Amino acid sequence: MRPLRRLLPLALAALTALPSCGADDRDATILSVFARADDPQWRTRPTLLDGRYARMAASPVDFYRGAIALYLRDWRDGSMGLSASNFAVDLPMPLGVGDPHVENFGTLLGPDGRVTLEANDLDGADRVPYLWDLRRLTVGLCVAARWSNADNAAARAAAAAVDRTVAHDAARAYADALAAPSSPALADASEATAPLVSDLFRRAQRDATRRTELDDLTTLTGTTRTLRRGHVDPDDPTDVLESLPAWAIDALPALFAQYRLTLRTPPDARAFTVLDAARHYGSGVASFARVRLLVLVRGPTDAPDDDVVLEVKEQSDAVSPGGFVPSVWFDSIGARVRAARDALWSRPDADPWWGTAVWFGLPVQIRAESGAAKGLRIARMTGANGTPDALRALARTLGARLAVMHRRTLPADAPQLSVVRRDPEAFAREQADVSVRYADQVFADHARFAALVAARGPSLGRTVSPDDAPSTPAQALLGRAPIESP
Amino acid sequence: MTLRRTLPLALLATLTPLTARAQTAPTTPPLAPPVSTAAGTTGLTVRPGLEVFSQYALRFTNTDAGTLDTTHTFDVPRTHASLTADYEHARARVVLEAVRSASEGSLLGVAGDSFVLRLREAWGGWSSPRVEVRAGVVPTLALPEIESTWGLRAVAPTPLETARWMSPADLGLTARVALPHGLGAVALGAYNGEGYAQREFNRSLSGEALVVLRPFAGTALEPLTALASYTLGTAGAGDVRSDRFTGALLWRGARIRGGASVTRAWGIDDRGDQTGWLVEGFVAAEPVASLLVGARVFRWQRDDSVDTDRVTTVLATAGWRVVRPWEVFAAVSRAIPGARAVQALPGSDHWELRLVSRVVF
Repeated sequence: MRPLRRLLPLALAALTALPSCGADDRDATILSVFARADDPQWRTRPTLLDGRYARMAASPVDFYRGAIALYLRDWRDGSMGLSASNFAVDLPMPLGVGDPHVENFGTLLGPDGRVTLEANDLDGADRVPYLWDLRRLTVGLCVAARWSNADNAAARAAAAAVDRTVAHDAARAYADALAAPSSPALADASEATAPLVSDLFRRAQRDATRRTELDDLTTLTGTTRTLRRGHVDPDDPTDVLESLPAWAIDALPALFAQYRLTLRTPPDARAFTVLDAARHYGSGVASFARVRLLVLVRGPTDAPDDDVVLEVKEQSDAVSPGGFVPSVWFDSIGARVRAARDALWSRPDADPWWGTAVWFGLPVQIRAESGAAKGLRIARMTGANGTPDALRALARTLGARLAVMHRRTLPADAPQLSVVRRDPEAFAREQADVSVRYADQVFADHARFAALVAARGPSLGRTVSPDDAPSTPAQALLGRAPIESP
Repeated sequence: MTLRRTLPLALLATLTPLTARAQTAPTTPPLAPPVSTAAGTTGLTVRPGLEVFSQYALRFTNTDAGTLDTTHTFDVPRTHASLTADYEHARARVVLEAVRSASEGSLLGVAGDSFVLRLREAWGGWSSPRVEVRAGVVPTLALPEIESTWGLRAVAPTPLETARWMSPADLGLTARVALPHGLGAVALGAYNGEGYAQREFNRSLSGEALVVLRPFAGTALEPLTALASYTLGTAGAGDVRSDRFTGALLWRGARIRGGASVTRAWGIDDRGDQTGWLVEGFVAAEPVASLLVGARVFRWQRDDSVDTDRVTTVLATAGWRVVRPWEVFAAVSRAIPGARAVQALPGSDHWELRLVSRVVF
């Protein structure tokens, strides 16, 4: 037995390299979480994932946007405190936005020309604990406050100094709106008390009438309109439109036939006559590596001035903490997105072109690419839009909007309502405390992530097996990122 | 020129006798098509096997509204098809397992979310009465020991598997040596470390050592078994620490089986400095022929640093062996999460009633 006692530890030590070589525990956690979460994309479209990581490494805001898998891990980790609350209610769950960070809100253009402020990214919409959604928002507001006013260090410091207040205001507005007996029916410009939101509405309404998307994305030759190719946004070298293979374009009419049936008020089928289509690279953060197309369709008439640009975007499973068995709430990805569209918006037809379909096996969401569809951007939190008061007003607006969304799918006697009514101020303070703490974690994690990308390379040190390479047609769909790094 | 004249003659001379033989005795077998694998060509015997669990589950999940959310589910928790072969000291085994193609909570799978087959075991090895070596997709060491003592896998997997702290199989190799006089066994394993259901993310191997002792072998107390195992491993692309120690005291009688085990974990869910523990007690018995009863209680402390980050589960079952290969069970279980665990794992506060069928050949 004595030789065995000596040999056993040696044998085991020889089999196992020392854990965490060159990386501390949190680095190791970050590496492992992204490796697992992004494995399918890593295998099939590694260069696009490199682009996503480069974008995430560029700023804490983009890191937060792209790191919801890490948020989920930390949510499930009891010692992180992210899911801890004196106001916790695990069930029933509202249908939430899933990832309601600041930049996932924006304007949509309704069929009557009215613009409303809505959740404009439903990729992660699902049944989630109400605090999951609220904290995703309030942490995002803290991150935004700290990263606002990029052009003015003093203004940034002033905004960062009120990050806790900003999160508090959002949570308090959420509590008040959740507990209120009634909620505003429409999130239109009349609700725009925050300067950033007012500015958003102003620009959206201006561009709605100008149809600026046609100028920005297409060229008109005689009476024929086509999509541009190459770099679309001169300020963003990653924003590229490339031609699609003819066989991929040939499949678009069938795609639009499916999609049309998912619209609340389907236009005439001829409106979807495909005029041109292109692969769109360089958009989004979490969805940077997903398949995106821009498709130019005929619109109501043959006249080129009413052509419509549609965005076709690949969808995937939502990242959420799940729930009770069977842990899925919808029959398909498309059903999930459509349910969110119908439940979360202040009007079901906030974007009448928003629908779903399946294209070559990929679940896709289709929406209008409109000059009136503008997202809130932290880069615009400058000047009058980036003052502490402006940020607090924005926080109140978004907190209240989120509560209204949750109210739509919670039962009238949902325990969340009574829980927040118990002590709304304590509720808001708790959310603020958690949000500031986790925002600290986001900034620290971002620094770690950027260092890991710098040290290990754009793929975080992973190598792709040639065996994983998709077939040539699949590569043509998924894309090989012939683009510059952001 | 010489060559051109002599070559046809030489060929003629060579073929003529063959042609003559073919005309008189056409016994040469036709040329068989080539085979892409030698599997099945040796004439040696292979034994098939089959195990199917099917169940109806009725789950009542407690909501904070004070109501119970009810879920009815028919499921096939296990479908295993096996092929096993041995010849002298050579052994091989393949086990196919049916699983849903999408992971829990996902909508995206293969052809919707169809059942697909995957490898649960696929190993070849050398076996003698004292030594067994396996390589391939192999069963790990400690978990199957506890599971086989429980013996009611159809009713519930071991808590170690439920908590995903150990995998029942992994890619690697194991070697097991029986101690003399039936006193037990020692075994070593080396694995990829991510379990058989995951691709390899970590760069290093994991090692497992197991000691099983039957100190009273040859006496009436022979079923008393002590077990200790240590897994020194990592998980994930960050090579996060993933060490496990399991100690158990088991009773492996013919009519009564039972035991208690404790597992300590260092490194959980991609966090190397997180520690937790899991303790269980169980008993399974056949008090009269064909009547099967069992009970189990376990407490899973997910994180040592947060007292309420725990789940306690109690299970009781009664079953009947209808005929030798077919058993049916009724089971009831209650999962009680601590305050922090229920926030992190929505829906973990529930009752469950199940009717289970197990067929094994």
